[in-house]
Amino acid sequence: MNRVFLAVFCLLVGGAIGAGLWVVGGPQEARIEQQDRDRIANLRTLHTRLISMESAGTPLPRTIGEDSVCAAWACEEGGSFPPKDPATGMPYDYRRLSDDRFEICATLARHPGTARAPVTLSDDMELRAGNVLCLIGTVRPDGS
Amino acid sequence: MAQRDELNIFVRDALSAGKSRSEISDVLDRAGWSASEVRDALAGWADTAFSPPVPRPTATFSARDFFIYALTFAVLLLGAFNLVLVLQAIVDMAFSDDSYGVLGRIRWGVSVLIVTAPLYLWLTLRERRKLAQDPALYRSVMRKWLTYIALLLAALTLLGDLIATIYALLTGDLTAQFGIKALIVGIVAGGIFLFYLKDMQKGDQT
Repeated sequence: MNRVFLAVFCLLVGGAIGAGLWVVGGPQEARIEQQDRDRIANLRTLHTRLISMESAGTPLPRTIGEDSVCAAWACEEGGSFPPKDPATGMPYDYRRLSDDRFEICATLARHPGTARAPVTLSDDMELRAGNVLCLIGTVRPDGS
Repeated sequence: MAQRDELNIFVRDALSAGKSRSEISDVLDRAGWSASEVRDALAGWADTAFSPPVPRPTATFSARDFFIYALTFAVLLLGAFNLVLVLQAIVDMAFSDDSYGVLGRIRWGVSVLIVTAPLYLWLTLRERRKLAQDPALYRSVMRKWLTYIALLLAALTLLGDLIATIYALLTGDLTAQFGIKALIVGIVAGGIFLFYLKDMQKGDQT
């Protein structure tokens, strides 16, 4: 009888491990998924910095690589700020749309809606062709 | 404990002196020993005419038993918990959209299972072989204690699972997702309970 239990135990555990690995994918999938999470978090960080910069009286920069921006953000040579794409190491795509509007974009590896861990897009996010996710920032007249 | 030792010595001496079991039982009863104490003391000696009296085997305890059974028990506990975690997370993924945290739970649970399941299986099969070779190991105090603790925890989990299911039913929260997750807990805890119950019954027969 106990042999039956042990056999069922093996099947159950083996099934759970197999199903678990099938659901989550392999290490490469986990890495890609984490990189997409990092990209979205980085967009949020940059967005917050740009908004706070504008509210401190500094106009929105033309690019986020300018010296003035770096001085304001206290970025370090080869440091972790401003954040760059975790896979390519390239800066995120920043565009100044007007004096009080900007967008900052990242190319995701997986479509946020169909990824294993789908990402819920907020109102200030826009998904474009090629899995390009843009975070649009608007500086309010009161500086908030 | 010292009193019990005195009782055992008395019973041994009385049997050695040729007194019958009923005589010993009567005199102990008059001295104030309870029926269960007298029964246990007499049960410690084989009911044969041989003199001196032959002791019956008693429970054993060793550091090796502690290591093996405590390790088996810990691995079982960790493995069972994570088996439920993985299976419930898969159910959550089937029903829920927000699955980022769920993926992390599955990865952790699978990692634990990959380590604990083969170790548990190896420890259990190894112990089973040893028990088959030497049934005296069934008398291990650690084995009995940890088996009964496993039975207790499995029984408490089953009761908690049943209570949670009935509560969810009464509050109108008994969804298919909840039902399947409760069933998973029931299957795992029930399986462990039956496995160790059979094991204990086999040990008692030996």
